[in-house]
Amino acid sequence: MSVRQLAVLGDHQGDVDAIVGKYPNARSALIPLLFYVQSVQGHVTEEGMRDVAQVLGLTPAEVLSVASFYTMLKKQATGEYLISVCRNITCTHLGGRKVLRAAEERLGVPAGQSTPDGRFTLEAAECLATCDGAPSLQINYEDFYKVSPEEMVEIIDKLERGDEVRSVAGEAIQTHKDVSREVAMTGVIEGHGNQEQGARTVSGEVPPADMAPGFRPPVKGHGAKEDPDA
Amino acid sequence: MSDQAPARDDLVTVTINGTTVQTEKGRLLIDVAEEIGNFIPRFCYHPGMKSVAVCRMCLVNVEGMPKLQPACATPVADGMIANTVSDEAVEAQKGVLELLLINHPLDCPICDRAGECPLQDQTYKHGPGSSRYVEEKRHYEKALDISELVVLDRERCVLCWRCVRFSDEIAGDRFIQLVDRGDGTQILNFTDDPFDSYFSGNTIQICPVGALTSKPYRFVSRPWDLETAPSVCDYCSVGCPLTNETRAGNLVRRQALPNEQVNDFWICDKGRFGYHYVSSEDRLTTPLVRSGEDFEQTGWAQALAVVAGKLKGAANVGVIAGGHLTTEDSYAIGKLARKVIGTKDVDSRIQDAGAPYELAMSLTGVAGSNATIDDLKAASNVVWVGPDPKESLPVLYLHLHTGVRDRNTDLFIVSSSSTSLDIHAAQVTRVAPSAQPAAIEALGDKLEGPTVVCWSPGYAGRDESPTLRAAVALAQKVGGKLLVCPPHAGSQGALDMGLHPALEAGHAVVAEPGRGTRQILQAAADGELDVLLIFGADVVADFPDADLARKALGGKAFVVCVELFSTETALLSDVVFPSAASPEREGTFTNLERRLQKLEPLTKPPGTAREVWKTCAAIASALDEDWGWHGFGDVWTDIKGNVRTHADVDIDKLTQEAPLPHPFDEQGFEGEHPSPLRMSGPGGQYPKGHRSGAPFATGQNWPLSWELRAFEARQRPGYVFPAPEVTEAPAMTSPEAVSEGSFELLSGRLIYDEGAMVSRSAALRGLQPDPFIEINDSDAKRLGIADGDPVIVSGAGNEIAVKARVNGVAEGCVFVPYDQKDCRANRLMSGVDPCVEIRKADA
Repeated sequence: MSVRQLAVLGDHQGDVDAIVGKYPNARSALIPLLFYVQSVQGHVTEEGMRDVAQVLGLTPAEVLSVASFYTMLKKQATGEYLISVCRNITCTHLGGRKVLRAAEERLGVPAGQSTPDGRFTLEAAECLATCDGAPSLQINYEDFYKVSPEEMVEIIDKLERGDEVRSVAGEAIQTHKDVSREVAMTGVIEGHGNQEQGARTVSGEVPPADMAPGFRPPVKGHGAKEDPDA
Repeated sequence: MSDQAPARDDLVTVTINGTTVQTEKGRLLIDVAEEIGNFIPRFCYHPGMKSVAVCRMCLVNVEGMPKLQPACATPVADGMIANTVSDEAVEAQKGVLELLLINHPLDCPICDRAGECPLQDQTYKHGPGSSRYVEEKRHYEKALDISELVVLDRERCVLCWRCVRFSDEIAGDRFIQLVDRGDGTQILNFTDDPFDSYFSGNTIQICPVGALTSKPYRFVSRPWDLETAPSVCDYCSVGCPLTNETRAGNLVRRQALPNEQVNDFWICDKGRFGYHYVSSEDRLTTPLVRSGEDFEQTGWAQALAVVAGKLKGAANVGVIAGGHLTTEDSYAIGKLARKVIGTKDVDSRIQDAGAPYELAMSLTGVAGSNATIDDLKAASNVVWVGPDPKESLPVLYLHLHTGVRDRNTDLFIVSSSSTSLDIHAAQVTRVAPSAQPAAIEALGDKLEGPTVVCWSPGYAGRDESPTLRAAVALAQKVGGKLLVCPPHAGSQGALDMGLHPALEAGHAVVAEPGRGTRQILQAAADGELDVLLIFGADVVADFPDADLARKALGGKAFVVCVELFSTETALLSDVVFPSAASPEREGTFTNLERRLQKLEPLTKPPGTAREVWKTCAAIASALDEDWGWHGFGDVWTDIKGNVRTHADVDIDKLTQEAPLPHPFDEQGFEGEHPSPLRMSGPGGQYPKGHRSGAPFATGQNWPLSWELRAFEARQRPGYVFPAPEVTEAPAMTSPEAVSEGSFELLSGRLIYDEGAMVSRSAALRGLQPDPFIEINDSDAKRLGIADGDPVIVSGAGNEIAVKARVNGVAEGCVFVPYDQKDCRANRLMSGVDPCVEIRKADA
């Protein structure tokens, strides 16, 4: 049977090999590759799922089965900035719904949709596990605590102008595609992305840094100073 | 303790509902309980697949365990005391059913499954009488076409995962999956990718609700209006037992019957949906006698008189039989040819013409296998020599796939074209046919432990003697067994009954062999034959040299054809007799492990069509030889008296029994049920006195959830006949290769093609792929052919335009599927080991 051309991942063979090479079992690369597709296309597309299936030797249906479970894998076109406003009980009590409404009015779209220019996507999120910061929200998964409706509008204004916006952890907000790429590539060591390097199961060898016990992938916004092990 | 009855340490003692039994360690509580008469309700559990315990229907009490346990995931342990009907368990089962029914549409009145639905049955027996749920139910688009054969209704689904697990564990083609897991979990295929598995029909049969239904059977009948008879699939040589089911005399459905020795619980879609040929308009209904360019419809006596007249004066008679005849038919043909007409020129190998089955005799004593499917399952090494079994022997493919997946079988493939098992194999040797023997021999040092060597005569028109010799030698060397896989349901039976130029019935070697199919046709074409008798064989379509077949039929020989359909061959004959199809007749098929299994008749043949053995007896009678055959039993008396291998067969014991009656009885319906369930129609109510094991009466109704009953009959009657002592293979001379060319032509069957039966089965018509050929990557580069390019294949003076697929065929070879629409490979063949030329089609 003929080999279908990779529609999405074809131009990124190096990164794809690096991701797949990390795992002794190719199927383990499924979620990272889906994030990689998202980093290229902005969301997980049908073509992207076919590519992932082909790379990993799965059926597209198996890929869909996994992709459809995770809310962070977007099945609809998603903007540069994904604004997730908590709608659970603590945030609601402290004015979260007003924040959400302010965002809806400012962006001109209801929660669950993207602006026509494709820059912003607004969603009402389930609990973000930051009730101490209620009403809280995330922009591309960076936290913002105790946000007022006015502040919500101000953040959107800044993002629209291209001004720098920083989260509570002091991180500058990246685009949704960049964040997806970071998730996809986490733990991939530059220049080591091949199959030989990926021989994780061989005992007696010094494991690569990201396999060492206690290793935590560096995630921005959760800096070293917060790490109790540090 | 004597030696005869050693203490077994693999036994445990368990008590279920007060009954104490001994059983093997490791078995599941749900199975043990069922065996002793305590049927535990279930949806997700299926004995053919691994337990997942997701439906929670089989929760039971086990003493010492703090909570209820799912019986399908609880292995029995020594001293275990279980109660499957405790108040707690019954309450849980009721609760599970109430939850399952919250979103179930309860559209039983318009559902195909109603009447044989596990959800319906178990709700009546174990469920609450009514629901407390008054809110709107979940809605999905109903009746979603997910393939040419299967319709999905997600509203009815209870998420038991059976179909998903089947696709993964058994079939290995995971086209349907659970998506949107969470409160919106549903079964779905990927966007518009169809669920085009060769085994998709099994998911319909094991679906415990009406979520997956069959397109050909949709709204055709109610289960209690069906009449059912057990039968055996009439396509390939695996010989899967199945049911024929009719409504008002029309065949409307086939379902798999379980037999753990043959097919486990599964059949392929070709067997399941390929039954419309029985009612095809092409069926012959009366004898036809040629009159000029046309045929005249006649009575039997008149046509028989014509044939007898020709045979009486004939010096040279050739007899060719096809691969779909029953054992009895084959015996009658052999007897007619050898005893009455007195010819040795008898053969049953058409597409596999020249397949040297007789070479197996030096190891097995028969022109066939000495391995069984059980041996195949138990083997630690399996060697597969031949083309893709998924196309030609689908259920054998399932056994090979599950062997690698679940039984740690090491699979070694020697094949010239790519197979579906390549990805599962421990080693794949992809070489041209001439290099196969060396490749097989080279495996000798790698195989340790029980080994089965499978050989399938895959490539039409090739002399495969060296390959089979090597396979036999390999089996001998490693002390393994041989599984010979002839192509069709009747192929092995025909060999057993002596439809082979070098073998008489019972695999007795003929001192001086007669002519084989190729030589018979050649003789007819050369004008050396007076009469040519053809039984159930479309030689023009199937013999690997279409021009030779045409010439043979157009020569001076008087051609008599016994056929189901007005095939090309029949239309070129002088007298045509109509024959009966497998659902219309009593008979036996012999499968590739030489297991005899019985067909029970259910419908009537059209017009005056009759079984081939009756036609043979009538021809004999017209030649003044009365065989005294008045019924099926007389044929078997004759066979037992004259065929050494079949002397001990007790044909009455082969009678297929229905699965035992339904586990429910009316005592199960008590208390709060709104009204006792009554089924209308003949066979009416739930049968009483279940588990009586009463023999199956043909035509008896199976009005209820027969899927559940089917689990109780995992071993169906069958008889693997003993092989006689090992004899040396008879000397057959292989015809010399005659043609030269640039590519060796390999041609094997695809599952859906232009075969006489499958092409007349309406449900399967749309499933044929567009005609294609396969060539090797480097050959393609050399010729400047890209994947999907149109090419011209030429051979034997004919040319065919077709699309090329570039893939893993052995270098120097081209794979042309045998019988494709507008691409008949046998038109390209001439002589043994045919070659063809390929060129890029001009744009």
